[in-house]
Amino acid sequence: MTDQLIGAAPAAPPTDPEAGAKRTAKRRRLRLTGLVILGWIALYGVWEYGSWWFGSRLLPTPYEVLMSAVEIVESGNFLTDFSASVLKTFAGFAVAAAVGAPIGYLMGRYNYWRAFFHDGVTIAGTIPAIVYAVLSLIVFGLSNLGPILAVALVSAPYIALNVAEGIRGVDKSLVTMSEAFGRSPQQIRREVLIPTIVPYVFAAIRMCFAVAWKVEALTEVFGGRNGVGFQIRTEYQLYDIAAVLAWMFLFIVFMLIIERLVLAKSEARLLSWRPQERSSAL
Amino acid sequence: MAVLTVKNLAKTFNVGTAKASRVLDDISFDVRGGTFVSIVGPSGCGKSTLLNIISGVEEHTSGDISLTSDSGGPARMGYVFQDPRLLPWRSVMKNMMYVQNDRSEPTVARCRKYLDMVGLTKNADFFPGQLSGGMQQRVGIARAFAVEPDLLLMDEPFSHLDAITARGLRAQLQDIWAQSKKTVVFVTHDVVEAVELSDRIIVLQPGGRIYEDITIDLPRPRRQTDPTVATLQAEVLGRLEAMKALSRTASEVAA
Ligand SMILES: Nc1ncnc2c1ncn2[C@@H]1O[C@H](COP(=O)(O)OP(=O)(O)O)[C@@H](O)[C@H]1O
Ligand SMILES: [Mg+2]
Repeated sequence: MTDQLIGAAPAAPPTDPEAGAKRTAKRRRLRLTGLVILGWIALYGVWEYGSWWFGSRLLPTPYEVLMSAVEIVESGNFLTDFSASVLKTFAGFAVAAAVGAPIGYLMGRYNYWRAFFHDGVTIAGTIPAIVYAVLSLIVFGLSNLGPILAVALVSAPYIALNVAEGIRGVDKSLVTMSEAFGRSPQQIRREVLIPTIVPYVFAAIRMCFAVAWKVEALTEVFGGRNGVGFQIRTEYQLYDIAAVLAWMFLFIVFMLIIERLVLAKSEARLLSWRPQERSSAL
Repeated sequence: MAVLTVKNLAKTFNVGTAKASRVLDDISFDVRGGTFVSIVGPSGCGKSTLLNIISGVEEHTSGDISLTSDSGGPARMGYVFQDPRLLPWRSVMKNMMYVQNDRSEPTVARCRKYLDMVGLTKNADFFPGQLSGGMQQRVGIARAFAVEPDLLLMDEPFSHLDAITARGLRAQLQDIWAQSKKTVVFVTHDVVEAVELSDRIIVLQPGGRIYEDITIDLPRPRRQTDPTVATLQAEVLGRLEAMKALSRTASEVAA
């Protein structure tokens, strides 16, 4: 039998030119790391100089901001408001999914519905996020619902378009196979349709999340009753710029952690069935 | 007893708005239980369409099809396709279980048995993407046998594989079939393959009519190296060539 496990092929023994290439690559990596560190130092220098120029009341020094951040975290405020913001972001997603997924399903499944929704959804996806933020403030005023609506409005078009793409990507031959073995429409939906669109939905969520949390915070700044954006507004009104910047940095750092780690990890777990790229073994 | 009876079957595809194309025309045959029947014909003569109609995936235009089952209930069918058609997000074992009607212990044991017969016990928890094309096709074969079908349909299951892998799988199929004695309708354009595997060969001609019905009375197991097998293969191939020449002249006369 000639067929064997993919990836079970024995690795080629390391040769001299390969080792040389590895050394060159390592040196290049070191140089790049050095440049990154230099970049940070330069940024720090510009900031220090800026706060000396403007005065630390207008632009606090990095150290003041750091102290303020430590204080915010220690007081426990960060955890409450950060989770409020994250919760609102995800609530917005839930609304977007509840509206966008069925529209996407119809668009992917039937050409008539595609014709009906296509232009509207495309336009909705092109409208700048700030417009949705303002719109949500007009609708809900000072309320926690504003940020949720803003996130939902920003995300729904993406989710609809991606779900439609996913449905159109369903492998017809798998549906035929299922029918030939007498599987029910419900089984086909669960075992063929949904697994096909999951990666598309995840792509949509990742894409939206990057925009959504910024819109969420922005909407909170103007109309929130809690959350990071609300805290930024409060500190601003107290004219505590160090705290404004501290909240901002904390928020950015933790949202990036969610974006890069939590979402990416759960996506990788969910899609573990995908064949590993063979080149990654090199 | 006949497991499958096809009577005056015809199929017309409506292409576009007005033009209708007749793919199958007045097909009648029956298949006795426990036999291995091949349907052979040049590509495009309607073999896949015929299988799809038998399996119920495709509607037919006129004629009758009847299936009887051992259990007395609705007939159970298995299908092996040209490509493996496995769910990429399910492990090999879960793919086997997907087409089963229950999750009982005997069902699981049966899936394991057939997976063992195609030599893939060790790969039960692998995803399809981690298997070679030949291994995936073996899962497809095991999956179809494991539903214990009253009728097993196979549509050119080896045509996408390289010659050596295909030969190995044909030998394996002969063994499994000899043990399970399922009723099989096997579609191929390869006469050599059909003679090696079948009790009987139904030759379809372009235009979707039965040209010939040949009984293959050779002892089993049959091996490529056996001269009597080779002789018969050459003979049937000769008859098919004659049919092709005939249909060529016919189309020239019509033109
Ligand atoms: N869904 C379809 N619509 C229109 N024509 C079809 C369809 N499916 C198959 N055909 C036509 O029917 C003929 C027989 O196809 P098929 O059964 O796949 O042939 P084979 O399997 O023998 O190669 C071909 O001419 C093909 O173009
Ligand atoms: Mg075919």
